[in-house]
Amino acid sequence: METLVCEGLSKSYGSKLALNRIDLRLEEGRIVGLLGPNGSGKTTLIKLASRLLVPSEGRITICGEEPSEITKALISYLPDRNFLPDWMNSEELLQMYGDFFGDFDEVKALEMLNNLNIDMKMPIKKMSKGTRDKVQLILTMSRHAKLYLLDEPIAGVDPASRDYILNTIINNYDEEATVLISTHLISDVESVLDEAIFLKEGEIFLHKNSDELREETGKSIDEYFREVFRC
Amino acid sequence: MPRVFSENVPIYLQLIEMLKVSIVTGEYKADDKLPPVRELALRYGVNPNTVQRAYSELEREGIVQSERTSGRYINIDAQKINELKKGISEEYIRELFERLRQIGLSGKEIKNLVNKWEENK
Amino acid sequence: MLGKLVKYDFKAMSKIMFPIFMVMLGLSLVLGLMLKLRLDNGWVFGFIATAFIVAMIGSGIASIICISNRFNQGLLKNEGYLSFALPVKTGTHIIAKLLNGVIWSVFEGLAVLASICIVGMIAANSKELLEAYRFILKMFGLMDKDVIIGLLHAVSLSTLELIAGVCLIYAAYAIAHLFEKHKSLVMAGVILLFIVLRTMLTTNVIFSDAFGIRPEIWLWYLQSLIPIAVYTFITWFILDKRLNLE
Repeated sequence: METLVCEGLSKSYGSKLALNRIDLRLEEGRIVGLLGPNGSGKTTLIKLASRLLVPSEGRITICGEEPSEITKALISYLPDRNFLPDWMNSEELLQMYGDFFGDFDEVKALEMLNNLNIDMKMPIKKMSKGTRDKVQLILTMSRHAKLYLLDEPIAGVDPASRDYILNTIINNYDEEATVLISTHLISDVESVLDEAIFLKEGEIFLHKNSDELREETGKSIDEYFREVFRC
Repeated sequence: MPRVFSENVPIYLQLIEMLKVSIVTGEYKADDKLPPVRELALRYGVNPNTVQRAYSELEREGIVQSERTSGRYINIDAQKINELKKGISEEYIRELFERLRQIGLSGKEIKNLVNKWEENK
Repeated sequence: MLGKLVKYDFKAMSKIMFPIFMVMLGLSLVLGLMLKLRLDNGWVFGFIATAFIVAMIGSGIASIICISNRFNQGLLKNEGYLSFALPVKTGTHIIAKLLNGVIWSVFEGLAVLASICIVGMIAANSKELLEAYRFILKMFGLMDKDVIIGLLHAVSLSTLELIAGVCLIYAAYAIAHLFEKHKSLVMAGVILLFIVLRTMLTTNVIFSDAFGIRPEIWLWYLQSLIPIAVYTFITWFILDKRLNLE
């Protein structure tokens, strides 16, 4: 089943064309990397999928449906910033997620938070950046969604936390869901990716299976990326 | 999470080689159960589909047998182990020859060096 | 879903508003007692009385600020990433914020009223209380059908005006969201513009010769309902089709 389909998808902000006629199809059971330099349109694509933006042209569907409150229930979105109400603590956040998302696994989330010894009564605003990032990740990955959209999940994160995040993604693998990881830090994540999408100036430069790409180029995805995007 | 695999070669191939070596060295014996896909994926920080592909390839070669309910088991005998050993050795020797040829050694020079090296050990 | 949204907005608001109400309540109790115990001169009394009035005015200002802030923070800043990821229609978000605005405005008004009553009830002696009670009964006695209907209209129209006020604030935030810079300026400008436009329309339509000397009551309802519809539509359109967080 295709979880994400883009047909001739374009998005402009005023005169700036951020995405240009994107054609894309993502299958379930895959972990896909959306790779490109800053400003290449990665976040725009993710926001179009989660309906934080509407297309200028073309079409985008999630599990066959146009973006709406229905598709939002199928998508678990981790933005690249602090998005939780900072006066809430972990306990309250668990309750809120459980309240709004039918597919939220409160037991799993609690287990993960306890494993990290996170103080359930501490409000977000008092947490260190690393802890806060982990809480956001745990909440996102504790849903049983069809499409996970992770926008730069490891940027600005220490190596140990990076391992934790990648482990969580692997451990959470669901053969009926797609995980789309948008990042410009490729060498850290490439061993986890089934497929790589190179997004260059708002267009899809390539979309290939990772090992096939390695076989064809004889390079790591990171190496090949640097070649393609050389300034 | 240690990086055991290089990323410029298909990871599933490296995984297959690693598993074959484990079988040849006796780490995995006949009828041993292979770890579940997810466990191996977590251990090496790789995609579960990659592990799946490696396992499927080993199944295709007859080295691994999968029982639907209980998992995957090593399916080898002495003959298969020897075949595997031979296959792996040939691969390493090919690599050795390729590299030494690259720095300008002839086949004869390579063989001499190998003998000398073995004697001094 | 609507109920859940309102619940969380309510929680966020009460973290700030309840302490303010408690302070106001506390001051009303102290003031009442001071009056009752005839401690009503000297600078301490003056201080408490002033503090009480400041608290009442302050709670009004605080409620407007909090209501506006809830909208802006919850939908147009970083929290908006969470809000708009929830499986909820844009319209539902707006209705939830409207309910939040109206409920807390009413709460605030009632809290101020209650505080004043508390001062009175504590400070008055039984004779004064009885007099007040009789006075109230007399007022109710004077109410015939027309007076009651008139009062009901007054309450409905006031509520509609309150809703219109909240809608205007939200629409102003939404319009300002379209601009990258000078958002505060845009907001002020928008609010001013809409107030002026509305006043012009109201005076020209309702008081025009077309409707004679005494305008019908339904015209008054219309002059509240139409702006509410316009402001809400503007807010909905921008949030649904022109949202651009970050």
